[in-house]
Amino acid sequence: MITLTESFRKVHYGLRPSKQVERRMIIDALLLLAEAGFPVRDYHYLGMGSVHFVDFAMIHKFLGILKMTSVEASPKLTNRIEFNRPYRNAVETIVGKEIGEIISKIEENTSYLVWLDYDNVLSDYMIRDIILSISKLAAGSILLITIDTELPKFVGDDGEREMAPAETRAFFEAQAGPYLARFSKDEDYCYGNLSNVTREAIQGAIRYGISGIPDKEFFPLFNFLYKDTNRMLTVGGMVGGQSEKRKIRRSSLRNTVYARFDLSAEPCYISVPPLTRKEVMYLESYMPANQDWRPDEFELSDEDVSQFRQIYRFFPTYAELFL
Amino acid sequence: MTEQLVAKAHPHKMFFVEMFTRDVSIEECMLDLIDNSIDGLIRSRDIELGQNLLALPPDQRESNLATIKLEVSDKRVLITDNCGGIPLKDAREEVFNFGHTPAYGAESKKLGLGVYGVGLKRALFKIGTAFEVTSKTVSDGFFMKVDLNDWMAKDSLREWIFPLSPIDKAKSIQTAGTTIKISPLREEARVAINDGRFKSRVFTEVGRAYALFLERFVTVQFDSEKIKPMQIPLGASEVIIPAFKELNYDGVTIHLFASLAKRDARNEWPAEQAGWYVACNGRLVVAADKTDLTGWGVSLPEFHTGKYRGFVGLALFSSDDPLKLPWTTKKSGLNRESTVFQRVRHEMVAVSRPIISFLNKMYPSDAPEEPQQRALADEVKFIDLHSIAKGTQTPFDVRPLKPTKEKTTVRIQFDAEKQDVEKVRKHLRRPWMSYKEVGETAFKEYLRINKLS
Repeated sequence: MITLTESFRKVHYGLRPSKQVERRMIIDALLLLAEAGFPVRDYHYLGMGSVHFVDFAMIHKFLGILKMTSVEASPKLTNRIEFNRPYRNAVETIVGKEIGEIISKIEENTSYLVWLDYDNVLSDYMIRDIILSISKLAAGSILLITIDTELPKFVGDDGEREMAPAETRAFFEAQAGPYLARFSKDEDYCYGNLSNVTREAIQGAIRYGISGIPDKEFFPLFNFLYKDTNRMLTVGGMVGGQSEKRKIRRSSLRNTVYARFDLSAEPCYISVPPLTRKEVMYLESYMPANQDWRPDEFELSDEDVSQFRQIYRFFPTYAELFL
Repeated sequence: MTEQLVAKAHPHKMFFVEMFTRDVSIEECMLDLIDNSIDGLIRSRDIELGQNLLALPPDQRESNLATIKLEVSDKRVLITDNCGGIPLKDAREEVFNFGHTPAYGAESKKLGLGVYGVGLKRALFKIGTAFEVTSKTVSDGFFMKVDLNDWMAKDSLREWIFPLSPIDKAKSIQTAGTTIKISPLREEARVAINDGRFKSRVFTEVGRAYALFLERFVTVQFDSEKIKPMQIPLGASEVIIPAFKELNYDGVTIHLFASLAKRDARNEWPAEQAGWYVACNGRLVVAADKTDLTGWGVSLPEFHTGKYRGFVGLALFSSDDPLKLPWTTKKSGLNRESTVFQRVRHEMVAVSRPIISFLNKMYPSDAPEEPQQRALADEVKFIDLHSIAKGTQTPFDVRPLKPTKEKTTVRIQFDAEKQDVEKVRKHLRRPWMSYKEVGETAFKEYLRINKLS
């Protein structure tokens, strides 16, 4: 049975508000990094824009980035991608090639912003893409990795079902076993822990990708967890040496609610409370607010108030337009 | 003040003769003896061990090449070369030491392949119980005769010497060289040499290890039979552009090449030739590797025999200081912990990646080869690595063919009743006609009847 709240949320799901909050937070972070001296405007954005190009539009509009490449492996979408390609003098599209192939050929003296924005659960090819990206990216480049952390599905003769813990463990070990030695029991692969398992694999791939390369480190910046339809994990950070580290330390990122410099700390959970436009306007008028603040005019759970306080600057607004 | 106590940390000859020799095969010992000859060649002919190794030296004809002759029986192993010989000073101070002094390594090119100061002695000890070395350079010469049982009987540190006596120098560079005779043989060496497959193993291993030297700088004969170099099947064509990348890390120059393999006589890609080849100062230490050593199954997909048998890569590491190169003491593998290699491995993966994509497209889910990729792969020929290494660095690429003449035909496909097809066959009295021919005949007939053709 769908309760009122659930169906209410369902409207939002189609618009993926949490993903949008994440994008806005990342844009905010990039602005702060630019302020700290990183020439973000000159970065080359390499992403997987599909047919929507939402991230491309935001990156161009808010950051002024002029070199952008969207890679789509499936040749089936060639015409739709070309049709939807925004800012055609800034965005190039490569269709029918895997992103790994494009990353293997990136220019070595250019700073990149790479977003490996997968919509599947962890797979061995993602691990390989991460290793390759980390090893290839020049100092100052930023790598973002988004991976689905739902239970993997088992496809059998009788249709699709979620995997049992032992199957899940076997599945993850087949994808990234050498990086998951810490998770040795079936119960480590329960739904609640899969984002930790996925993050551990990402971190392992990152460590492998920088191994043997002198003066190359990965400085974490993001560790988002959110759920619009599926629970998604985004890990991100900058590749560089001591000079990049100093600049990041000096930046205002440390004062934000979303930055995470240590991936073992609690992730930044993004949850968009279901609010009416009128409620949002009311709440916004009291922001920023301290921890004890509660709205007088209507009831709202402490959790929702707290979430709103964290994300109001990045809160997406949706409205139907009749054009 | 109390007296400083010390623990003895002396070497014993027994260790070097009996223990040190256990991890090496007789075939590998043959390679160590050849390494010693090739070192003479590098020293005396001033061979540059970088990308020039890829070129055929312009002034060398095969008849002028230096020769290394191996003669092996169960009585003795004899290796004779005209590769320039060992200078007396080096023989007295370095060549027969166990390990080199740091000063020796600092002198550029003295250490081409003889990096650790281990191989020659280990080979001599492993194969026999007595040996003689005669060597002449254009400046001097020496003769050495050692009975290992006598040598081992005197174990004090002052007795770590091999007596030698000076002899006449060589009259010319062509006659300068070294002869090593090992006799009698140890029982284990005798058994290995007599096992019926020894010769073919030596042919394979020598052909592989010196693939970049044989027929370019030197000829190696085994019992008068010339050993052919293994050919690394790196290929290219008008449209298939091989990857080439040059790197310099910590005094080591690295040339990476990767491409599709040239197909064999049956127009196939033999899986055993696929993978990465790695050479250090020209000596091949890894051939056709498909393991995690070169990134397979880690940052590349697992090597899939069906899918990736068309892949071939070559990594050339060269340095004037061979201690910096990632080879093991046996030179039959890579020191995977070497910092240079760990770094280069990432680059090897990156240059491989576009080829993996090409092969993924060529073999979608193990279905038969995609005709488009198959046609491209069929055109691949051996490449001239030297001219590529002189050119600009490039990733692997498939350049679109220049558009050919505009196509003037269309493909017509349709279904026809079987009985109608049979009627046509019968009418033409050609029951073996294929459906295609039936269709074509009917179409041509229509054009003829209506005077349209």
